[in-house]
Amino acid sequence: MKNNVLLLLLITLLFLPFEKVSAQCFAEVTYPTADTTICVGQSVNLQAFASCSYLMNNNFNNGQIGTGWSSNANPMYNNPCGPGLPGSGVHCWIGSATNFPRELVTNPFLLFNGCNISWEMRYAADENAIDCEDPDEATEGVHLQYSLPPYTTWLDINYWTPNYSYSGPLYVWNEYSQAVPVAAYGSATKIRWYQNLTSGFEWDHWGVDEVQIVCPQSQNIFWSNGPTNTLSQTVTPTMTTEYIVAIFDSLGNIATDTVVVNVIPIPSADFATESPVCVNQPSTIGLAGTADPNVTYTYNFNGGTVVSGSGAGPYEVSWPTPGTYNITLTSTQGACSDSEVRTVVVNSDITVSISPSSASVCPDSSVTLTASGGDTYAWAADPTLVSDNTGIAIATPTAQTTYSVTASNTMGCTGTSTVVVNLYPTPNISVSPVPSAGCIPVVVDFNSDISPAAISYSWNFGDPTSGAANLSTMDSPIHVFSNPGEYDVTLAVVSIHGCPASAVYPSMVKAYDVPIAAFAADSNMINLDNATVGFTDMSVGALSWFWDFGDFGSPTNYSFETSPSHTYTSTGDYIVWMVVDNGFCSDSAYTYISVIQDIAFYIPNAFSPYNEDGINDVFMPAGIGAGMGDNTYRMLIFDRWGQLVFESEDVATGWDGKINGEFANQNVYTYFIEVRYADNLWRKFWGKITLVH
Amino acid sequence: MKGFILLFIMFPLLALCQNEPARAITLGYEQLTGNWTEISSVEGVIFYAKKADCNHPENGIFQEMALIKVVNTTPYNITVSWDLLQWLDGQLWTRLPVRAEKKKLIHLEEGNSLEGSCDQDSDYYSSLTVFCRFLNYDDKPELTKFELSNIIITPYEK
Repeated sequence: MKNNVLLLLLITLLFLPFEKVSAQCFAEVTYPTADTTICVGQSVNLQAFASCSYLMNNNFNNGQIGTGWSSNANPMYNNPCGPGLPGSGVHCWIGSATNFPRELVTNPFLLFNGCNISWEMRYAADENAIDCEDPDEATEGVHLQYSLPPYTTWLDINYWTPNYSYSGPLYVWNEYSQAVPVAAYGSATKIRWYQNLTSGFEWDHWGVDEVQIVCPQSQNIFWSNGPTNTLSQTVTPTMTTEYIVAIFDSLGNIATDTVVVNVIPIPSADFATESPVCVNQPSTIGLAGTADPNVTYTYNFNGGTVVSGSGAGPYEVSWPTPGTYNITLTSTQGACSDSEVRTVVVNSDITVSISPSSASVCPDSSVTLTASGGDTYAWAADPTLVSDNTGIAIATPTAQTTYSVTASNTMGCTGTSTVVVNLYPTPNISVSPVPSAGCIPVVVDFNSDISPAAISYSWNFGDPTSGAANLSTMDSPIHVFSNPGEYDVTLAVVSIHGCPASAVYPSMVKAYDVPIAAFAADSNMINLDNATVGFTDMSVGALSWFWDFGDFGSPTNYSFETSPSHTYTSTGDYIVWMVVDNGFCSDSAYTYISVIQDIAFYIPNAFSPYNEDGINDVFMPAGIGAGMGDNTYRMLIFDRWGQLVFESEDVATGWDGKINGEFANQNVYTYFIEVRYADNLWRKFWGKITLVH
Repeated sequence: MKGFILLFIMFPLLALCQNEPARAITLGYEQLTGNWTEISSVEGVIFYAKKADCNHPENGIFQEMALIKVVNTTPYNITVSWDLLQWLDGQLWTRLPVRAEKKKLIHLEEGNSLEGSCDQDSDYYSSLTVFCRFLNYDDKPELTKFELSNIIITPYEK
């Protein structure tokens, strides 16, 4: 109930023209020191000094003399002689503006027991050439005085005498306090700080600060928006509001002060971005609504490049690298601003892949190229490429070719990739048959030279009659051509790159038929006495003939006749060769011809050397055509115990039947005879000889 | 021409003033009375002093002051200057060297005099008055003596 009454009183008083100071009460909004402006949503802490105890409370920090008093001295508020006590801020300084007297006089106050006056004060001490000359005469000090109505006289409460040395407590800032003397009690007492004399304008300066006159009072504090008995509150007005602080005391004194908190709306920083975008693809960034001409819009594009746009936008902004970019828009109107952040996702251009990443094909072969990473594809035109927009293309290059595809996705990001398709060389086939021609059976060694090298071979020798041997998979096969003819050889290979190739070599191999050499001699053993031999040709397919009769000393040893004859002039065994030729192939045949001479060779079977009758005394062979000449004869005789008893190499020297000069016993002995006949052939004879006494 | 003649006539005085050392007058507080008392005569210029209560209740000022009277008995218009030195509670209360605010100067025409008064607004208040003590305090410094030093009398042409 009490509060309601007080509130009603406050409301009533608010419509009355009160001032900050009303009689004993003083109220002042100390923060903010003047009407202020905030933004919607912001708060301001209102602080007040309100007291009916403080008849006056001036610290001059606002550069004004403050309420509750006045001065004739045009005080300064710029500390010309140095700062005051710590935290005191600006003080009230009595400088050169006036001569004398100089005074600071309060309004009339109700002063009673317990009232106190406190302040800070100092005299100048020549700190500065101007406004800081020191009071130094005994009459140049400051009097603290009071005066009662009708204010015709003043009386000192105290006086502070200067000194000629301008030093001491008076010449530095000090706090002073004086109880209001009983004589000054009254309902309308004035207080003043009074300098009676000076030496002139530029002389004898001084100052005061933190001046307070306090008289204890019961009091009530109200704020127009509700709070009571508090000197501070935090308000968050949504519209411009006037706040009044009021203080009442028990005597009905009231003081109020007012501050207006202007509220302005926070400018919208709502904006929109186009996201995602691709690298270097502009994102459109602009206000979500209409730009306010009173608002300053400041964008921070976080490193983006402005392609177009200014002021409030819209802008076209791009970023060179992928990432997520926070875009800030700050809208400012006066002291109010707002910032909002939007994100632009900058995607990298898509990565396009082509499978296979590289390829090589054989001539006239194709490879399927498959692009991926995008949604649509465009292959660069190439006459060797067949493609559509699905990303699949078939390349049939005729040379090494680079194919390019550009892919796009639904966000418009693009990417390009290329693939090089190499063309393998066609295998170069070279076949060297050794020999390339011959007489059947022609054994041909096929040597192949494949470049690049082959990994498989397939031969066809054109000789189907050879059956399975007509084909081969060897790199260097050997084939036997058994039949005469000309053969087309085919070789198909697959190179190490997998490229096939084949080559056909017509009539690469020529196989010729072979003639058959055959002949018949009239006789193969003839007598030297009639040593002419006729040879009869029995060859097949021969077109030419060559004869070698083996009679090398004979001028007619050779013959090209078909059926020649030859006459040997000496005994011996002769090899007669016949070589026939059909122009490509030849054949030969031979036979032995023995030319002999008649031979008579007799070996007795007993002899009788002991009787020395001249008949059959010596054992020796006899004959013709044998053992003629050196080393053509040898005879060995052994007794019945195998002991050699006689030896002779002269056909004319026979065994006389003696052994070691003595006639051998009558007995049967064994002879062994080797003799070379006229035909130079050795013949051997062995048998028994009986020695008869 | 008139100035030349006056200068000729004043020459002896000028010569005297220029050659003699400056004069000084010292007066103790106890020598002050309520009546004008001659305290010194210098070259035809006579100095008097007395003490007086110079109260200004309208401003709460209650103080005893020494008043000085200067009489020009010379036939010249003169300026008289001096330095005021004060001793309070036995201590010299004047900064040395004497600063401008303590250098006093008055003009006196021939035969005229000037005397200090309690009127703080008078022309020669600061020159012809010397603070003695506050009558409403007994704990404030009080005058012990004062001295008019370096008295210089200079004629001038009117």
